[in-house]
Amino acid sequence: MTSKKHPGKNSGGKRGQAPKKRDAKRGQAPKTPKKSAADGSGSFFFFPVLFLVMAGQLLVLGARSAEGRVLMYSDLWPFGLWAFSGAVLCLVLKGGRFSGSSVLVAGGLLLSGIGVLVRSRMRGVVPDVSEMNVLIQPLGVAILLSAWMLTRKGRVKILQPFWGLAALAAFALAGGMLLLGTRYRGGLYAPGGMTPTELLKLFVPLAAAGFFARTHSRWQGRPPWFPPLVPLILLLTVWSGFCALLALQRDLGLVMLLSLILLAVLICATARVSWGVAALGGAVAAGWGVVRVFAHGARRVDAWIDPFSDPTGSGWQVLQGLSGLYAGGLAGTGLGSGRPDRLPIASSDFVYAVYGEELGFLGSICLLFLFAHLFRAAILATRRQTDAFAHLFAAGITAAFVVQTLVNIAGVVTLLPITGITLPYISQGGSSYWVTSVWMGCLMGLSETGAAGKRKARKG
Amino acid sequence: MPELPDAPFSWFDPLLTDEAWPHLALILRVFLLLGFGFLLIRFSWRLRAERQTALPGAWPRVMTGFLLLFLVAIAWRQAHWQLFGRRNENFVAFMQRYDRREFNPAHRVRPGRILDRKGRILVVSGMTERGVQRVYRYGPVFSHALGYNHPVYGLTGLEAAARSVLLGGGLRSREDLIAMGAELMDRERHAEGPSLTTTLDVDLQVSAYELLEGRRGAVVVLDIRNGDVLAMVSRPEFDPNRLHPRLFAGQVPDAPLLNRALSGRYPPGSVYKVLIAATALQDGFSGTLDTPPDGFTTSPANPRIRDHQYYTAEREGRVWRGHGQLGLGEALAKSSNVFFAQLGVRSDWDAHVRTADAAGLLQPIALWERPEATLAVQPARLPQLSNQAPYGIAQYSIGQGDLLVSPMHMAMVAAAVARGGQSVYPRLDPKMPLRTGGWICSAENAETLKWMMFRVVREGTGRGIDLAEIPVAGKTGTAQTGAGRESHSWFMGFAPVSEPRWAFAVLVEQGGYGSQTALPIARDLLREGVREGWLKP
Repeated sequence: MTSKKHPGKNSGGKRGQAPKKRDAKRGQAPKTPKKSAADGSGSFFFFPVLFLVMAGQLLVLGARSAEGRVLMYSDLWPFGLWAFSGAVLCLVLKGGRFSGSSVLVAGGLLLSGIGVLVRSRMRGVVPDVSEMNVLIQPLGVAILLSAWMLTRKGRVKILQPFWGLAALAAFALAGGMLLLGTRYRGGLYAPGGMTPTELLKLFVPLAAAGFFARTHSRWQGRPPWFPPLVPLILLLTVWSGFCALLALQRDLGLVMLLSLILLAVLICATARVSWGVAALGGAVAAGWGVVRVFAHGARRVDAWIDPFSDPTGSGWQVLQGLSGLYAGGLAGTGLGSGRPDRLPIASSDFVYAVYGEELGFLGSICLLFLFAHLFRAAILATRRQTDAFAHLFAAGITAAFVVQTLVNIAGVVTLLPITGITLPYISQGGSSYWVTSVWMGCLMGLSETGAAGKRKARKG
Repeated sequence: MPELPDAPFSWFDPLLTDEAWPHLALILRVFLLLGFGFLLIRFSWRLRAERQTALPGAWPRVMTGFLLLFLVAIAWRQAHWQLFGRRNENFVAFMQRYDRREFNPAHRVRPGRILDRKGRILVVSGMTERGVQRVYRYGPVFSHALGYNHPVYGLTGLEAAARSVLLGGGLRSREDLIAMGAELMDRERHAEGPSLTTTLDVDLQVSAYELLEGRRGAVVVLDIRNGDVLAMVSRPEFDPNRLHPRLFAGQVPDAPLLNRALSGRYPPGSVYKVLIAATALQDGFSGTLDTPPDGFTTSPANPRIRDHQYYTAEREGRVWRGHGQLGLGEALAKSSNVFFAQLGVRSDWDAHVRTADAAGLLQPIALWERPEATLAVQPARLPQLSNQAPYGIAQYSIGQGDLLVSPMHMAMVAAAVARGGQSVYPRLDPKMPLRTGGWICSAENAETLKWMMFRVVREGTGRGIDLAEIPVAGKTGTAQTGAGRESHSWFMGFAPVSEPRWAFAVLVEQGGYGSQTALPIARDLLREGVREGWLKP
């Protein structure tokens, strides 16, 4: 970590005014950086994050006790397991001489900590959040570390040959769910309430990255009005078949998410903005058509355009979420003092409304900034890649993370229609949490690539 | 899944039960926010350092800029609801109705006052521990004119239609926005929505209400110059301050919730002859018609339409000799059914429909209109007839058959005659522009009709309202409602005749002859109006 800090400082001078200012600020408060420079784990902001989440946990416990609930040991377990897993994560990263983006680590830690707070706040209040899956946190860290090991230092290339397999697996999963899944609340679930379609959010970036890396030379620099015909037709055929399988399951949100991932990879493969514009136009048109065809999609769009046209029907969920936000106001009701039980599907789709009600507009802005930092770190990790496959894979995962987050939040605040997509690390549910862990692990591993070498070259 | 120990623990109890806990919780909240902010600043420092190891490229910048824009859009949209949600009256109304978070400040947003035309308060909002409560100053007097706004029973009438305005929908002025900023800081404080002035007149409404005491019926008074609804009373009434579940339980005798003035549908009987006369004058009718004593019918298969004197004479064992040859004015004064049945059949059915439409009977007319809600008089029910059904037209011409109207419609007809033939649409909102409808007849014919209606009062069935204080024109009506039931009693008219100001309609359900029940109510109302100086002769 020491090597990580100094180049920024040293090279700061070359970049003009702004870095100098930053140096001045650091000079005023040299306490934390110096300490973190001495021992590695500090640079992940583990202890600040821990104290922050601890304060939140204390507020939640206080509010629960004020509600007349008896505090149980099980109320402490999520926080304890999170803290323990976080500590293990930081220690392993330090031991493994992690040289990538520390913002990804610290931001991910803070995000999952907020998730713990919001979920522990909803335990026993919101029907879905009653049982506690103690495996979520430790398993999440184990998955994250495995993904990190697998992708760090250019090792991500070993995934490249598996892209075809990933594509097949995606097809098999979509088809299998159609055959075997059981319907609940308008979505398909595997036995046991699992959502294996979450895995598609891993398979699709891998398959897309592999496909475009293989046909890379043919896409590079080609404008949309002069596309490489054979790969394009192949892509469109396969993709429309895949989307049809998912659309039959009525999971339009997932179709949109995966299509946007593919779009991001396509844009990065061609490196042309015009592709982005063309494909986005096509995606909007296709989305419009799909919404016209599927009744529940049209209902959601109507509820989005005017939630007050049917306030007790299609507009009910979103209006209850907004009522919670309004009740929270600028500063919020305080963690643990809101009423998430008044919100339908508070634990997954509308978890941001629960957060916004209790932490207020200010807390929401902070959370948005946290997401912005994570996005930026992920984009920077993507930009660091020199290998085509690694670059496209990173782009796909970044897009998945970004789209999943923004679409969920935008749905709650009525910037977009409700899609049924969860909020990474904060919504309830194991599979969503683990998939996010894979993303974060991959991004952390990828962020290490090239960084050290470049830095050395700069130093020399 | 491993089993974890689970048991109550109490280490925090001393802390949580301590008096200092609220303060500590506040400190923790502030710490949470500041710590979050501090971490974010540190993160951005780190990111600046990390940026220097990224490969250059324009496209990622576009992407980053787009994401930033999207995040700003999210924050803006969230602020729209979370901070400025009060500007959206639908949203406030939704929360008041359906949000059960008792701490939601929307529950303390109070609808504004409703005032009468002179600024006297009719409705004001009060606060109880259960939330906002509307206080109706005059209790049941305005029960139908204003409707009610109740947390359990919902909203009706003007309260429902004007809800968004009363809640301060579309706050735009600088003071409003400053007040809203103050509310953001102090969630307990909430201003009242803007006041709303109506065209109603408390004095007139109270007199009309008292005059209808013990009756089932309605009184409507319009200002013919602009269509202002000065009074709109319907009885039996209810007390909007004390709504009782029994009011809403299935079949309630006398239907006190029904606004008879607007939503009641009654056969008009003889008052409708004014419109038939207008059609006939428009068709160029002049001269006389014979009125045979045993009545008139269009074919032997149909029962004969007779004058009521025929039945009276029959009951008393006398012989009715008939009115003989009658002109239009005399027939209206005597309210001869036999005459008007013949007169109506002479006109085309389409001409009758045209006149009714010109009077505003055939389309909904908004008394209160906003993009989101209206309070309207629904169209009257006209029978489905054609020239091939002359007997139907004959019945229509004496205001019977399948014809059903509301008292408001008849007041509009009176106003149209008083205005020289052109109808005016009633309004409850003084800010509404003057809306005129079609011409029921030409101005000269309307002048003729006006004096004919004056003749009704001077020498005809309406002699009871021939006041010394003020010259009145009018028409009585006695609408049959079926065998064995007392007729509905009607009176409509306008005053003063030469320079009309008020048009009115009075209906008393099952009140018998128009001249016996409805007319005295109109007479007393006009007398009081002149005495108190509301109406200048």
